Amino acid sequence: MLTSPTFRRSLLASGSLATLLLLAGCDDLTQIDSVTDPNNASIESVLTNASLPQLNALAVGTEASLRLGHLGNSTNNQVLGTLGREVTVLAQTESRWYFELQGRASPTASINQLDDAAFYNGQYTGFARVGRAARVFRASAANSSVIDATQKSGVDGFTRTYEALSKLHLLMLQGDNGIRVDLDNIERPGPFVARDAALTNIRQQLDEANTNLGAAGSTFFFPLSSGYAGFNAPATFAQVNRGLAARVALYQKDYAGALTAIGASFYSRTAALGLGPKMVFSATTASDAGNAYFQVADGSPSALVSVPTNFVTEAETGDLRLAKAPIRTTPLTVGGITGVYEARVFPTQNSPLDIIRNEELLLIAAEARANTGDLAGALADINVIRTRAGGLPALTAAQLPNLEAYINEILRQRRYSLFYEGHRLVDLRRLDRLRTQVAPNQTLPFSTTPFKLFPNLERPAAEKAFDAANPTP
Amino acid sequence: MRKVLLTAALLAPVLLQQAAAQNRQISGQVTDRATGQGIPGVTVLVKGTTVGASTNSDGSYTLDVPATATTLVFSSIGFQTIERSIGTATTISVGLSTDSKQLGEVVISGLATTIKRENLANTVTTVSAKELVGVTRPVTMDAALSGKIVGANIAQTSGAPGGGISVQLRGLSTLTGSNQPLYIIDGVYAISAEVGNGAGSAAFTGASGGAGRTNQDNGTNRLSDLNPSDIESITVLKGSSAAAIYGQRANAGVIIIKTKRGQAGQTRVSFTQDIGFAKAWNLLGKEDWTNDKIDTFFPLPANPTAAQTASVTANRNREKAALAAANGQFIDYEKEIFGNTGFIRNTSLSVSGGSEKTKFYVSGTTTDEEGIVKRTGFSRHSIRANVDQKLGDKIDLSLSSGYNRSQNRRGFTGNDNVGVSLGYTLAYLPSYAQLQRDDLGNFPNNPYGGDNPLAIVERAVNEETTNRTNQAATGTWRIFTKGTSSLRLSAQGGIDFSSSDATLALPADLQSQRNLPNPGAVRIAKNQFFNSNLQAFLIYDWTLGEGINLTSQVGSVRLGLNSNLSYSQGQNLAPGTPLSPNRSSLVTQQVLLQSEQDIGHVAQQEVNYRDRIIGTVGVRFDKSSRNGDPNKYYTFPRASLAVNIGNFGLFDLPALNLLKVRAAYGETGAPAFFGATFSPLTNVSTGGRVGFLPSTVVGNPNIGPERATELEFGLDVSLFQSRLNFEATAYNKVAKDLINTFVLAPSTGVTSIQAFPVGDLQNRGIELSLGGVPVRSDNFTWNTTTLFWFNRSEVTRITVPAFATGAGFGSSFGRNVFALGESPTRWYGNPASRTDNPNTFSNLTRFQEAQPKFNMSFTNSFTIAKALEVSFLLAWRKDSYVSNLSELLKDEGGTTEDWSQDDDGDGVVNGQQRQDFSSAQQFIQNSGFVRLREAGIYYTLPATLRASLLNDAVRNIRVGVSGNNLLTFTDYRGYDPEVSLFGAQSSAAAVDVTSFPNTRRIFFHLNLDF
Repeated sequence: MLTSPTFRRSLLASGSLATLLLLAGCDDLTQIDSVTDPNNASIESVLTNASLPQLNALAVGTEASLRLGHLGNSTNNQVLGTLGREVTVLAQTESRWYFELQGRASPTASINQLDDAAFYNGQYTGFARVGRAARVFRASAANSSVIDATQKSGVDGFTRTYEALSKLHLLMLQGDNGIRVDLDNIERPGPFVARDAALTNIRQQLDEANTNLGAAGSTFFFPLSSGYAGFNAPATFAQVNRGLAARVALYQKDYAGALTAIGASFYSRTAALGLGPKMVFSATTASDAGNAYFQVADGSPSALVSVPTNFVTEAETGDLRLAKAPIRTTPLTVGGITGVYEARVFPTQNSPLDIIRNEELLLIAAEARANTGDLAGALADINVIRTRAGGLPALTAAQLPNLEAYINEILRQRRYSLFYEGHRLVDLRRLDRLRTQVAPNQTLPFSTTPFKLFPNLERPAAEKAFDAANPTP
Repeated sequence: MRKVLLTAALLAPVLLQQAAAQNRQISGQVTDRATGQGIPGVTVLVKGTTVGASTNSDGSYTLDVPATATTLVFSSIGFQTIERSIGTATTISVGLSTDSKQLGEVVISGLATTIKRENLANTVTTVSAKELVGVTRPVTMDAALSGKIVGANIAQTSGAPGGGISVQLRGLSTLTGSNQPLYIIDGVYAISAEVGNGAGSAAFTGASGGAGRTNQDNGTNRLSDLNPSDIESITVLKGSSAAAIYGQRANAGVIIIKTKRGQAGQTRVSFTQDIGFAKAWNLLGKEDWTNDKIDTFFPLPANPTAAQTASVTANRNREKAALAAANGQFIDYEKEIFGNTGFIRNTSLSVSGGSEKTKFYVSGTTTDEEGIVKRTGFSRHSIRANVDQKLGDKIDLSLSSGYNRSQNRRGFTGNDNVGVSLGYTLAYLPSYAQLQRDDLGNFPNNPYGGDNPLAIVERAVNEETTNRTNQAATGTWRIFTKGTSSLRLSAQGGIDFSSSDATLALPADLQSQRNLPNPGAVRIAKNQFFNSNLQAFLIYDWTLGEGINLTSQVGSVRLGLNSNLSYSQGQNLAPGTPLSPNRSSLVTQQVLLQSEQDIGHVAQQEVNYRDRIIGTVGVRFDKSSRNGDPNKYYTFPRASLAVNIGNFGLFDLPALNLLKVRAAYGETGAPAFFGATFSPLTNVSTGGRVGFLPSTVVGNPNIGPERATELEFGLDVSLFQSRLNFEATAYNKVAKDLINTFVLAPSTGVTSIQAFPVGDLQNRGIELSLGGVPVRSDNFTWNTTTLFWFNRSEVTRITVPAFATGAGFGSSFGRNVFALGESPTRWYGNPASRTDNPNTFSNLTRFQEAQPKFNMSFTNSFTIAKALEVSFLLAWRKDSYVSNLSELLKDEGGTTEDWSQDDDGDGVVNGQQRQDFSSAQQFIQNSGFVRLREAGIYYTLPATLRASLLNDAVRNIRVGVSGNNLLTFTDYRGYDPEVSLFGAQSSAAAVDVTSFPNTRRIFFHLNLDF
């Protein structure tokens, strides 16, 4: 039996198979090298023992990230500008700019709610990434042995300020929807909190950052771009932090708190209105970007950012700020809407974008002073804006008979001074004036049926789905 | 008497032995019963022995047969096997009938073994060269498969020259990877990626916000490089149970392509010339304008303010002035752009032949196709040399070598945010616009869109050239053969290398560019792929006792896949030519490197009991560098059983050729995509410094492969000498641990974990095939095949929040959702309502399924008087749904053919009524169709006429005329019901945004054999 030919052949076959398997057993043939990312650095490489150049790169990335919400197919100032009727985006190939975002389903019908996953939610992720970049930088710095506690405190102050800015931008998009404020665990973030709670959290984070900056020594070890010229040391960066705190306090209607923050900021009635930190652009540098709000004068691009006529007709005669919305040589009509004026806020594609500037601080101060009874102080701030930004005559106290008149005037100055910077919708929303007749001689176009005004964007579908699957206990 | 008898009895064995020693020669010719033409390569075998020969190029053979021989068996793929008793004849000529089911044909059963079709436990479709391109010439090899494989949904996603094909076998098998099957060409793991060049990126059509390659590039599938006329056969392993032996590459099925090889005998030269033309089969048409229509087009809102009235009046007056200026000169721009006729030419020459030791097949083909848009087209030049060499008795070597160069010029179509996509711009272009080039050669600005489409046709560039070579070598060493057992070693190695160079350019003085901060864009993109594979198998055939045949095999496979996708792009171009990034001020570039390695080990045991019960068990162990742990083996088992009830001799039914029940189970895998384990820090710079920015995605270092398990049952019946064949298959394929992004809360700044096992997806379906030869006579033969199949998908497990899949354009237009109990290809969309749809994803309304209710195809061929052959293939896709935005664009532009009509008589014209974003149903449209996909008539010149014309210099002359997409019946309101903006994307749900119109193609054929 043992010697049957069949068996012997089987034995031979098995032997051959074994040989083949042995051959296959050679390391070269059976071992696979683990593949590392050939195209990018990894997060793991910085989270422990980051080197100084790596920390510097994280700082650059955090600063650069603030531009993300202003880049791409959907930009913050265009979306908020459309919702606030500052601009009308006449896009030849995207009718949702002038249909959905202006509340219409068709030339004649309204919509009930905005899309929760359309392209125009894009900047949500962009701004959320600012917070992520800041948190990764902070965690990497904390785990690095190449910097000392003072330097780490500088990173804390810088990153917490950026994180607060990230949340503030998200809240401006979401309004009464609120935002998540506890974001440390990416797989288990905290729940959404209402607007007021969110503002409180942002304010606290800014205050904490300010404390950190106070313990950060005289210089940051990491570089900041030329956009931070004059604000690139802990002490001066803290002035920026306080400016942002003033903005948040204003939104909280904490006028006294706003004035305190203003006092610690770079607010000045005499300094340049444009004073303040900026996002810088360089369209022609690799992995840098251009200013997406720049438009070629009188062009006919596929998406023209036009300015509704009432921006010009409701302005005071001679307002220098109308230069931001010059008349086109030939009007452009898309989807039945004619753009007679176009947004021309920036002279070049490399023009910087303000993060916060003296002009806004003056307006915050005016509003806070008016609301705390310091009408004279408010008038002084208003007149700095009127004369220096608008080239308009100063007002007298007699011309502003009551608080309402002050608020109307401040709202009007904010409209022209902060045009196309994402403020209009936020201002109208917080002052509960998102309606056709905002104030005397201030109206919202495209606001009657079938047009419809939306105070904020819809909460993104991914957020809804996440909460549906992870209900809060 | 007794003595004599005894003597005879004693002598008889001696006589027999002598006879056995005395061979005699038999010769003859094997012809096709239908045409009377000789068939080369037919195996002529003495029954019960290994003595045999092949017919040469004219079908003739000569064979030395032992005197004991009683019967000859004639067999060839595609023909019915027949037997003839020898008797005393020295000449035996036979006519073979084509066989729709090919029971005797062998199909792949392992990586190095084959099995007779009648013993298969799976449904495995094999498409012969004749079925593939015998009727007409579809654009590409994969297009030619359409309607010929039961269970395969093959759609031509773009009408652009060079095609764009999506092949899906048995439903969705993955969400993130490719749902396109694995292609194996002569043993080489072929490059089949559809990779874009950036035509949809921000600098070009801007369809996508991305800067690099996008899924809206209207890319070509690398399969378009293959020359269909070099293909001998295509075998399709549809599900995991059949494809398990391919392990972790086979989740979407496997398509095995064999190219043609030489036959021993006289050298055969074949020359084929096709000429033809292509034309869009469907244009959407236009509607001309009147002052009244302009008034309707610019409606006054209810209770208009003075400003609103003024604005509307201004619009109306401006357009009325333009209309008056046109002076009745309406221009059909669609016709001007898409209405051209493309000339097509295809020339092919092949030489094959050889001796018993050496066989060769050499071919060269050149194809040139013009597109229906001027300055678009596709060309392919290919050469192939396949050589088989026997080294002594023990060793066979085969070499397969192919090189091709394909070029395409595709233009810009599809989605757009810049104004260069032709279809998009046309939708908004009223017929009274005057955009023709002026006397100075300049194109006027298009006030109705981002650019002048006539200028885009003339001046925009989107070209790609691919050089590709595939090389394969196979060696078989028969280590020993003794009696009924044999051991052989089969080794194979191959490479597939392709390098594509694309040029995209929009000159700086185009309308769309002049208004940009950095006018003019040019991109030189390079896509390089290199696949290599090496495998070795030991195969042992043996018997156990009486009637049990066994085949054992073990082997190993190693794969390497590398790619380099890079580009250099320049914006802000200097005027004039050359269009090069060198001449720009804003240069961006990207290099994307990928590399991966896979290793697999296979063992398989087949058992065959007298062709009655055939069982197979096998297992494959695979590891891949794409998995989280690159050296962890994953196991993919298989088992199958076929029972040939007909062979048990239980009943004596001569009419019954085959009655088989079969069941098969198998598992396959798909490793995560490249980079799934990485958490990148992307590069960003500001202020002149370079920085790190955490990506929106994080990796999963623990990710393992997706796994598909499939159970398949079937029944095969063949009757009346295989003149009636029926095949029924039911399958249940469950794709487990599907990898997808795990969508996180985006406020964290991380939108997703790149790869996460999100759940299971079940695909169930039925595949039926009924074929036969209803009529077979000397002067008339009718072959017919009817295929019917459908697939149903359902998510059976989900471990993450429900999420959107596919690539739709948001809730207004329809999107797909991965949610428990639902099909991931079903459409969801507006209206969203918490009360009406409390449980759906984002409270969206549930709409129809994108996958068809069923597919059917009906193939017939008639041979008349051995000379005339008429064939056609009719395809029916029932109730599939597409998200169609094309009509909306035209309605918005007032250019729809029926814009001013009012179908429901409610006083609102169609064109405005349809611009209704309240319900996505408006855009989710039925794309079912009935299409005469292929039809052809061929005529073979009678020998007498041929001889009188050409004096026997030519052995065969065949002429024909054929067509592709000749007739289409559909209610779909777009260019073509098969189109898909996103190409061969992972989701089966198609989106149509003014895609390149599909074409009807007509050919004239001439075929000469020397």
